Amino acid sequence: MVREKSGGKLYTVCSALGLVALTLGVLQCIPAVTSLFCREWNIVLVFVVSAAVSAILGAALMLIGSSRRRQPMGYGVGLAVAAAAWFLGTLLCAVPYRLSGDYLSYLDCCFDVMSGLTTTGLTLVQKLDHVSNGINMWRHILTFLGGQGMIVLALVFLSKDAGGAYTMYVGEGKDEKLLPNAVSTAKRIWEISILYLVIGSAVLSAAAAASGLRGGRAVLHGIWIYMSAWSTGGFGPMSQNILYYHSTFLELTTVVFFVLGSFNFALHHAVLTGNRRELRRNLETVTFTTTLVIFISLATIGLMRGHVYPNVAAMFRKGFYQVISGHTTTGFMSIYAKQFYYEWGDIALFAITLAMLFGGSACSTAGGFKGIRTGIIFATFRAEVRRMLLPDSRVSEQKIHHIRDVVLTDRAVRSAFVIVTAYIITFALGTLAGMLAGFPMAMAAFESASATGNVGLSIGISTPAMPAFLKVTYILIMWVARLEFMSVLALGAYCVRKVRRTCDRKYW
Amino acid sequence: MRSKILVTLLLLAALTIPACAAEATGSTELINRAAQWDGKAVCYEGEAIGEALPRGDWAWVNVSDGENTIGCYVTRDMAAQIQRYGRYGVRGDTVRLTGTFHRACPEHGGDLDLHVTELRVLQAGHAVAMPVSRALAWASGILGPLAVALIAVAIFRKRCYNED
Repeated sequence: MVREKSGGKLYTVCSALGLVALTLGVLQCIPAVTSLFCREWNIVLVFVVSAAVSAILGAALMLIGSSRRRQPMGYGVGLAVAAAAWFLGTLLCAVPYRLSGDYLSYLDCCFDVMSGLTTTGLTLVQKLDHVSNGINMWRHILTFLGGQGMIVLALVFLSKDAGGAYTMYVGEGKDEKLLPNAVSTAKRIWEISILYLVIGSAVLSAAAAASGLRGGRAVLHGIWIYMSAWSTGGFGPMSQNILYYHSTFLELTTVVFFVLGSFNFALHHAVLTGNRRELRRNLETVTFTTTLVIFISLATIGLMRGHVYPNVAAMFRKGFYQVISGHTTTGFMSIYAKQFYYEWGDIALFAITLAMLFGGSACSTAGGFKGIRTGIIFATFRAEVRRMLLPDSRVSEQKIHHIRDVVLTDRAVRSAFVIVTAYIITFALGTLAGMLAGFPMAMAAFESASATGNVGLSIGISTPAMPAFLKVTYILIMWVARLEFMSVLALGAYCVRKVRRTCDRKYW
Repeated sequence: MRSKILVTLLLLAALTIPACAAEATGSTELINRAAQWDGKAVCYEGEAIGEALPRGDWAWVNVSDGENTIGCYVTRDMAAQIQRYGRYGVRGDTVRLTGTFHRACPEHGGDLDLHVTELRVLQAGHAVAMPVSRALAWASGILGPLAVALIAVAIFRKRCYNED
């Protein structure tokens, strides 16, 4: 057996990781400038130091990687690099948090970074109401970056060095090709996001001003809430999250943007290029609408039985908002965490827990099972029932419509079942971890669903006082769920293979 | 007769004592046992944070007791008593509020809130010193230029590699 030389690929891996680290370093100029304008001098220095650390590491890796012996990355290595980039990115992006003094430990910082990058929204920050504008800008940039994809951003800067670009793009949980190659697709994703950023920030700044904020604070809050809404992240600049503003208008505006953010980028591309019929015909929008109606109905029944809200307006504002916030995996909260547990009752809790797991669309900023898989599974069940009831001569191929009509192949069905099963196993393990930490099953399941679906609604478990093993568990869950398992498994397999080879060489 | 006058005077004196002489109820207690406190008069104490959010003749003031932050619905005159709101580098006024607690306010779309009847500023807020860290300043001065130099070298090396 001829053993392939992996040294050449290592240079490519270093180059790719270096590019990601360098991109993260450059991005930190934004919060640094924010703090400069707000005269938060210490925070300016925090970001200068942190950006320099990222940039030095990034440049060093790129120098190592700029070798003539570079070889293209294989598919598996590309997936592993995507996972490794997210892991490295988490460690680097946590540095400003640690230096700011707003967190109790580096583990808490890593938790918040992973929560931001995966657009989850669970947070362990101390005294959020007193956090600097610079750190708040960084929190929201991370969630915006994570929603679009850290690799996707780095790919924008790749031109000739596109070796392995597609596999890294897929490794980040996206597989839609909007345009012929991964680099062009990455650029298009960012074009769509920046377009919505400009419009959304203006609208939400106006909404923030209408709710009573003034001047620069209205603009900053508008931008942050938009970033969080579009990326279905769920971070808020204040400890009460969306409840701080006491504004139905602002909440409804966020609904528009986080629902848009939960849609497939391919759908956005289709609609923006003139194909508006796709909104009605697309399997994911049909699935999402169907499951949303089911979960809202269930939640409403539960809330009415428990007489939780005094009137229809309150029921809509709280019940509908939280369910759609959970189903799109956004995580904006207009009630306090413990109110879920003490007031909502089992039926409404069940509905919102399932909604969080089902999630939004594939190739979007949302998490969860994804609408395309739910749709495929439902279509498969329907096809199997038809096959049993109808004669063979009348059974035709099962087709679904996602941008175009596609025949439902065994491979697609198998893939959907495998990934959904992986999500369910992850959710179960997270629930078990919560129970081992001493929380009741309902609370543990809710928080685990929130982490697995990258949602961010909290029932009160995710606090700085949470046991360290539970923090690590949720970090891992958020990471694997966001990258949809394959790239993390590829990274694990790659590491095991490397260790085995090293051991073999030592003995032989 | 004298004892009756004495009792009457004591009763009148009691009426002038501020309603919130009792210990303030914490936010965690209010949230976790909201159903029990719903509709009742409570005392709540904490730091005013963010800003007042005007609503006609009224305003929202969000008050944090260190554990949670609760929205308090006050008159514009009450809000005007608060000089400083907490944010980065600023400790806000500490206020004591008396009012009716709502688990899910029918007037405010189901918000958990406090309709305030009396507001008192217990302690004025103040700026919090945020001295520039020497260690950070030194680290910036050393790492910043190093980062710029390395990036320049990496870009130069990449261009040479691409040209070849």
